[in-house]
Amino acid sequence: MSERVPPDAPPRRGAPVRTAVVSALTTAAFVVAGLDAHAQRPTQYDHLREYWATRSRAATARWDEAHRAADTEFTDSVRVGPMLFLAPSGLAATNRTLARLADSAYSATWLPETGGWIRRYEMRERSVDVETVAPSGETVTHQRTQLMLLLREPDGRMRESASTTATGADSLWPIAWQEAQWALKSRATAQLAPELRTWIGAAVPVERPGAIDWVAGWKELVLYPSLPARSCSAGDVRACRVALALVSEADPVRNWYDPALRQVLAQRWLRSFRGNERRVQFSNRTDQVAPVRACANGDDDACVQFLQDRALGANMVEPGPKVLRALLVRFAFTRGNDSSAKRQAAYAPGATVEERLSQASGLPFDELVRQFAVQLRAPRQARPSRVPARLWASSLWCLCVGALSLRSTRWRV
Amino acid sequence: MLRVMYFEQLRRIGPFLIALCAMAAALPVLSCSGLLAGGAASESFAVLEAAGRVSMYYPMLSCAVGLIIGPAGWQTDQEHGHVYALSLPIPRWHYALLRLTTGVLLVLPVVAALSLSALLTSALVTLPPGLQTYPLPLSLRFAATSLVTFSTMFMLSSASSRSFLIGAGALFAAFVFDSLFAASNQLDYSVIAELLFGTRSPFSFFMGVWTLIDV
Repeated sequence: MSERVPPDAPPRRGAPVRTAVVSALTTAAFVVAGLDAHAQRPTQYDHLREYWATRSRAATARWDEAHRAADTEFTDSVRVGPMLFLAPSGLAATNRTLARLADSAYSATWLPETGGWIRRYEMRERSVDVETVAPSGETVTHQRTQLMLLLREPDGRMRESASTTATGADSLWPIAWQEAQWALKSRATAQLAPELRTWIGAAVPVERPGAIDWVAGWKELVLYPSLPARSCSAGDVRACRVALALVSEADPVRNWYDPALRQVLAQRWLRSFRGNERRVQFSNRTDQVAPVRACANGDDDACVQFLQDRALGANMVEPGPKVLRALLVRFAFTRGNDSSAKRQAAYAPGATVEERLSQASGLPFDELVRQFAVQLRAPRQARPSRVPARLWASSLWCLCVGALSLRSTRWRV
Repeated sequence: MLRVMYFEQLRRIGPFLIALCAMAAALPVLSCSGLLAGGAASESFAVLEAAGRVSMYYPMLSCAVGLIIGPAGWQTDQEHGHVYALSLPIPRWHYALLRLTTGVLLVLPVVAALSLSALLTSALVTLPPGLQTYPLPLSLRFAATSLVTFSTMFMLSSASSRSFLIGAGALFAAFVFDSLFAASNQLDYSVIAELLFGTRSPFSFFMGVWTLIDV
């Protein structure tokens, strides 16, 4: 039996061309899909998470459905001044809240007429895989509250303003207040206790954090250039309290950072500065960049000067990422079932942040922080467990495809 | 016979295989080049960003492995009208299995190059606190995607023109239907893309974090 290719057989031109075309097309599809996925870079994780979340929502929640529901289902209304809010009769508590909201928030005279409605509905959403950030097979159902207002602009045009938010049964109030405030463009302040609002530093939807939120929080913590954040990510629960900005510090610039981390902050500042260099050139900040450059090159005195300067780096001095605080609020306010305690924790005056979070969660504060730290580290421990399932899927694919290429009763000529 | 086929195929794609191995070995080194050169290790974000810049090339390389090695298995037969294969006293499935095994054996050196390089690089670098190296998951991911791409390309190359046209037509029709369905239902995502890259799909390995360094 000869094992050599017959040298006198005429070469066939068509087959290699076809193979090349098929190969090129398939590879292009893979490459485009791979590039389009964004997931190749961990720094694009959040972007991708939003991307998939938006796609998932688009499938299940659409405005036209909401409009139809608004036309047919709503039977009750609340009128406050010139504003009319329509709402389902079953949502008496929501109506009362809306009335309170309108009483306190509506103050701008340039809104002569405002109408709107609020509804609560169930939304099906596909859960998202932690690693690939693509929708997984499971479906979860969320309760959502949708607030839609018709605003008349000063020039007389009507504008539709909508805000949708996921809710737990009793965690609605902080969101409703904040979002409605945004929607009404009112100067009224949110009703959340000031110390809690200042400590969080941003609007927080009080929604139970999902796996993706924990992964994002963990990444923020690990990448944050401060000593408390690093100790917290290494498992030191006391450092986590510092990283959560719950321990006051007399000299944060020296105690939260070592010289290398101060240098890192300067490098980050310079990186963002370079992005805005053209814009900044027109301001008088250009001359002030010198100490930042000196700091980035290793001059620690310049680093201290840079981080104490309110015009430059002072706003970068934080013990840990803000995301961590928001995550703790969500974690605390979605634990336990005592709704009156949660409302008290959110609004009652005269309590510290620790007391409020402890009251909302029903746990002693130390225990709350410990459980929070454990939860924060969980995604990292869970990460390798995803690999075997995909390996099985890939192996099965190779076997099936291999078997298909073997299965034939004739030669492929 | 396997040995003969292996060396015949190796001669055909030898230069490409060497290039693929070199690229596979270079990627982990490039992703840590700053650290290997003795750069500052305090800035975790910069380290992660540098590793992330290289990470998109891993799936591209695994696609290239499949693209080059998959069709190469059938190239000799297609060029010579399957005369040699028809002259052998073995059934087709046996012959195809030998070709398939040969291809898998040629994929392995590239995977080995990447794994060794990733392991060595991981051992040599000192990372900032909180960051970890993941040489094994990266190698497994690369091996799996290379084999998935290779097997797909191998199957496509082994098909007849008629089978290929039927398959391509079905795929094209599915994409057209998907686009029309999405447009008529005001969806801004592709059902096919989700099926292809969803969690339970073998192609989901292409998604996810392709990086040697992560938190």
